[in-house]
Amino acid sequence: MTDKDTLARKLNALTSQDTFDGKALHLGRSGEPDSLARLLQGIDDTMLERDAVFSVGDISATLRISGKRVHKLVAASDDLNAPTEVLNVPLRSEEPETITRLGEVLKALVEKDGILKIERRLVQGAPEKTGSGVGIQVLSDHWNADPAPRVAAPMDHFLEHVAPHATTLIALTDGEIETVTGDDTAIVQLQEVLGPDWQSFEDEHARFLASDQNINMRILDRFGPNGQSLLFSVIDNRQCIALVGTDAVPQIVAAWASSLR
Amino acid sequence: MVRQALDAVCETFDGCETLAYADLSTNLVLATNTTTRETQDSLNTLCAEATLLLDGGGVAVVGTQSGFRIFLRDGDTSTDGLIGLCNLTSDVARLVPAAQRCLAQIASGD
Repeated sequence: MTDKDTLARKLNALTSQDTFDGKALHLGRSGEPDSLARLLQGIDDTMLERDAVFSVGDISATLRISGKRVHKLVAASDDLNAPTEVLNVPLRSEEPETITRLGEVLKALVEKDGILKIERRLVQGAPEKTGSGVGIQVLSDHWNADPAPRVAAPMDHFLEHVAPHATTLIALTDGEIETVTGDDTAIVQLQEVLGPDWQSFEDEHARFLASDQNINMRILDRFGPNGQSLLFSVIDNRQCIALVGTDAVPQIVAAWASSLR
Repeated sequence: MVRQALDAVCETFDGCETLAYADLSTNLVLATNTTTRETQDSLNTLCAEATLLLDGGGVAVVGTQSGFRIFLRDGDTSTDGLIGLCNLTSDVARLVPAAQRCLAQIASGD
């Protein structure tokens, strides 16, 4: 199937705020031994200044984060009994008690039974001075939880596993085409299918970064010019689009999992 | 019967947290596995996403930092769909065909 309008609609949907990711990202099941580590992972994945709402069901704690550093606890549900010594108090590495108390509030959250989610929201109001905040390593030391080690260059790892299955593969960095490999005919066909949306596809990366959905992969069955599957993926500042054999979908799914673990 | 079929797949595959049977023509989730923790709002959003991504295809997979969303249609034109949520440790390669069989079974009313 190569219907241009349909593909354009689907590509537009990749950045829609109405998608499942647009609301809240699942960090995993809470109430498990690694739940606090998963929460730390959510902090570590937050570059832009955001109020990150970590929630389990109706119970939530909101952290002001930027550059992977936590600045303060902005809000917490009553159930978490957040003490006044930590609520809206800037975090400083030289004040370990505040960090420890914040850890206790977050432990109380992740001990609740349910799905741990993160929703990043734009910070409202005028910027305030909250210091430089506290980084992952300090938090990890005080909270006795380590975010899982990650593959050093996840997109390189992913592309390495995708390439053997791709008839066409286009890799982008910071929205600029870096490499194009594979069947020239298919590339031309793909560009035709994307049509006027080709430029917007290249621009889309910036929107992904701005929307915090910058780690994402989609495989659409039988969507390529010759019935291949269309693969679209973003990890941090890198993006790829590829046509892959439908039979290769299981290997690509496995490659995605191993790139992000 | 539908819920039992969904539960059976979830119980077979570790990390498969939600399986939902949906009518893609009306964007309605008709049944879920027993232990799902998704809210009705989440299921509605998933159903809309399924309708969009399955437009023209039978399978769509969305990968995120924490897991996968799997969308299946029973054939090219059917309005019967299945939505799966699973974590990164799930064996998605085996889960997809099992879920397809489950969907075909539900859709046929067997």
